[in-house]
Amino acid sequence: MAGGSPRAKGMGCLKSPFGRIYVVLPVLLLTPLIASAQSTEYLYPLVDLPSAPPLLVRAEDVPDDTGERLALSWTRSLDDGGGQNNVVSYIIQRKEVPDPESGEGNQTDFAVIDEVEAGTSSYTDSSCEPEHTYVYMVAASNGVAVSYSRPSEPAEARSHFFHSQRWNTLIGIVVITLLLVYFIYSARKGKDLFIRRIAGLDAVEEALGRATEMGKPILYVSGLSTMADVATIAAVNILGQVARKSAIYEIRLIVPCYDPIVMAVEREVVKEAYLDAGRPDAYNPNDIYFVTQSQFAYAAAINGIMLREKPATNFYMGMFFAESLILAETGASTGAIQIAGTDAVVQIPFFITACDYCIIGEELYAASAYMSREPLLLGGLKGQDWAKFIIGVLIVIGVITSFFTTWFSDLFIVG
Amino acid sequence: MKKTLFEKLLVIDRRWIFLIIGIVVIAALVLPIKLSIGITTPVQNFFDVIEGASEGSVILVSMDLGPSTLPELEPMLKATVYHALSHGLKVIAMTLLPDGPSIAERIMLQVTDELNAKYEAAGDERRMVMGEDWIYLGFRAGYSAVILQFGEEIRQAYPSDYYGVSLDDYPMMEGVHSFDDMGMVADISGTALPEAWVSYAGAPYGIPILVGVTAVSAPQYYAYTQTGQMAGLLGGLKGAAEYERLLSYDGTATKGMNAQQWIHIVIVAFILLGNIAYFVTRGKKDRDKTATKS
Amino acid sequence: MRRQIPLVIALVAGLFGALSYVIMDPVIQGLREQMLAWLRLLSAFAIGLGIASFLRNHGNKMIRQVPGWAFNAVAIASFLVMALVGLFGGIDEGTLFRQLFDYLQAPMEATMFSLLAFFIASAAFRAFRARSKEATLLLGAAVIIMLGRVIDVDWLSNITEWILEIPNGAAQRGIVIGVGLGIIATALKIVLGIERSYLGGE
Repeated sequence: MAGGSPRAKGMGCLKSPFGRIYVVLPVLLLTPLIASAQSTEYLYPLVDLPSAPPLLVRAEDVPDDTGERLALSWTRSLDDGGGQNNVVSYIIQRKEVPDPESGEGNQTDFAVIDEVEAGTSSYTDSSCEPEHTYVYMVAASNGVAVSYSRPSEPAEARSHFFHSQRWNTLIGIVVITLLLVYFIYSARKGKDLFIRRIAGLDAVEEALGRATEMGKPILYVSGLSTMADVATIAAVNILGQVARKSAIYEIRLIVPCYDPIVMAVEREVVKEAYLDAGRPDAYNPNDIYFVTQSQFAYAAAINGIMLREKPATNFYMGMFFAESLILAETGASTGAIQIAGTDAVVQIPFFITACDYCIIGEELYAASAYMSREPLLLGGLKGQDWAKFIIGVLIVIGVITSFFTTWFSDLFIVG
Repeated sequence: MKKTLFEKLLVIDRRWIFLIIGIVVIAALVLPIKLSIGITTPVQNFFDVIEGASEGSVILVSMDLGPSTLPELEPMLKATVYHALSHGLKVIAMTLLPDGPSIAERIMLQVTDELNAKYEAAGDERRMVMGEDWIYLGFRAGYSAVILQFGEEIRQAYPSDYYGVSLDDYPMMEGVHSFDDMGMVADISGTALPEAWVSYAGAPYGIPILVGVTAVSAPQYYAYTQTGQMAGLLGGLKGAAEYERLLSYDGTATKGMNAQQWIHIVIVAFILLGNIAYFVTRGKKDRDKTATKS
Repeated sequence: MRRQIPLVIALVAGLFGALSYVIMDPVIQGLREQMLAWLRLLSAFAIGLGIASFLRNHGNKMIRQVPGWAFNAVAIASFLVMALVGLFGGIDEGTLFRQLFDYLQAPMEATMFSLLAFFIASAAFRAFRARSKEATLLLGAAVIIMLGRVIDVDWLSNITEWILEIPNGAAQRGIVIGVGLGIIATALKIVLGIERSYLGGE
């Protein structure tokens, strides 16, 4: 209360009844007014009390970034979370200062950079300039008044050359690259590399033979993805092999495409294959055409081709989505032999149900190496298998060690 | 030789199966016989993440669906946006598919209108205002390139929203620059994009990724929910129906589930019938073979 | 030369993309942002390429009057109508473009997707036969999951969730790890110039 405590000044008057009246009466009169004055309109004209200030404001550089972030932390105001002067927000202020060691840098005044809600005790400032030094103040606001913390120690926003939490990814890439290079080198030197039999790829010859006997075309669907997808690249590789054989056997090859860039690549691949087979005259670019990039419109178009042209063999190689069963069932209804290959794990059950042969997951990536037996590709496949073996061993070690400690599995967390 | 009933059943014209399926679907949609819907853990987790977020948190909702997956994904998308907005979260809507923009805009407008009508009817003063409670960014080509840019600065990919307004003109975008300033990402997708969100947003930035996918894609994401790489998963119409039940939201998934429930039962009946026919005819063939030998 | 330049670009861009993931230098990160912006530009350009290819293909068939050329005419007419209506009438809510999309295209695509329900039924009837031990296991799991997803019985739902999380999760994880390694290997082969199919031909 204004004027100091009654305890300090008027304790003597309380000894007599009349003296007590001088204390009791004002209290009796004022108490209802004070008690009812919960709104700021009444209370604050009497007093303007700010909240208790936040304490221990600290600023630290955020690691593994390009130097534009500093992390702030502070101890929340004592009035945060209730009380008469309850904090409603914290106002973050910042000023730039010269580097304490070198003396270089600008000097600015404090300016507000953000306001965060009550209950917060940390903030990331993402608007720093790299290699600049800053000082922060955090103010607790109760909607009427603010109280400022002491300024933090200067902190420099530093850029870091290397992301310290991604070293495991870098090591993984280096190890896999070395494995690939080693096995490719070995294959080039003439070392014989074994690949197990893949039934779906062995059946390609049989499927093409059937088409030749029946005099009907082959339909090759290379999936619904772009050249950026590895499955599409694998599909294009297999198309090259299929095209070479269809040129030799003089079978018409129909390749309806989902993506125009894939179409352009496939035209080149098929043309090259026909040239290699010595049948450039048989190449028909109109049989390799773009249909549409709408998923089900594409499926409808393929179904139409299957029902009209009645191909003897259908190939489904690449990335597929929900239309896979629609294509495979329609193809099955026409009596065609069907070979599918996809790395879309969700669609594999549908292809297994409706197709005669199914190439699963990485068998699709192995297809070009398997069919061509080219040393470079075989070596790459072998390197991939060894990488898988190493990952399997790491998984087993991780499972065993996880019973005792998380140290090993923490090594594989990527930041 | 005259075929037995089971032998005929094994080679039945598929059009009879299509007809039976069609009749069951129509009957299930028309008749009021309903089965109850239980709540599964991935859906509960999806709900809990949004429910547990503090008011004012930002949720990025990527609406990566086209017309073909609309019947299956629209219910869960509406329920997600409804939940987020009614819980006081700030919604940033966007799409990475070229045929998604009009769908996404329609859904945002429908849900906000629905919420505003509900508040007005209840005498609540709250209103969902674009720019303060939600914004719609539209479409950007590039898929993972866009996601990667969001990790640095949203304005690199979207300097302005779908309506051409600069993001800096919206009050809710103040201080929101990247995944670090967001509470979570929800990707409702009929494509393989959820994996891209996990790889390029969840893993490097640690932001929780909530995913809603078609029923066909859902099994492959259980591996991600187990490891926590996906914080929640809605799978197909069933997942959407469960979510609507948790929200007590009167959506279309619950209505559509009736048909799906009966269809599943009918397909199981077909499978069992087919196996009975298979074993009976196989037994008959074995008996005929034995009779021929003797 | 025609094939060397793309190989060099693939090598430089691939190495840069990998290194910029671990190197945080501001200059490198700035270049990375530029590369991502260019990637988005190229993706958008591919849409234009698709339009040109679409018009050329259907146009040629119309001109040559191949059997069924009327459908090629319908395809081009649909494309032109949507493009012109969108360009001149706008694409906002309530416009003709939006109505054509919402009441023609969306239902047509949804209808095609819904064909799956019929095809799954016929495929399930034909394929889920207990011909062997593995086929019986597949059949059993399929029946449990199909019923467990729609019938709200605790023990059935628990078994369904267990199958989806444990055996299914393990199998999916194995395939995903294998596919992921295949992607890494193929990407490395592209960067190192070993895989050249994207250039077309040998």
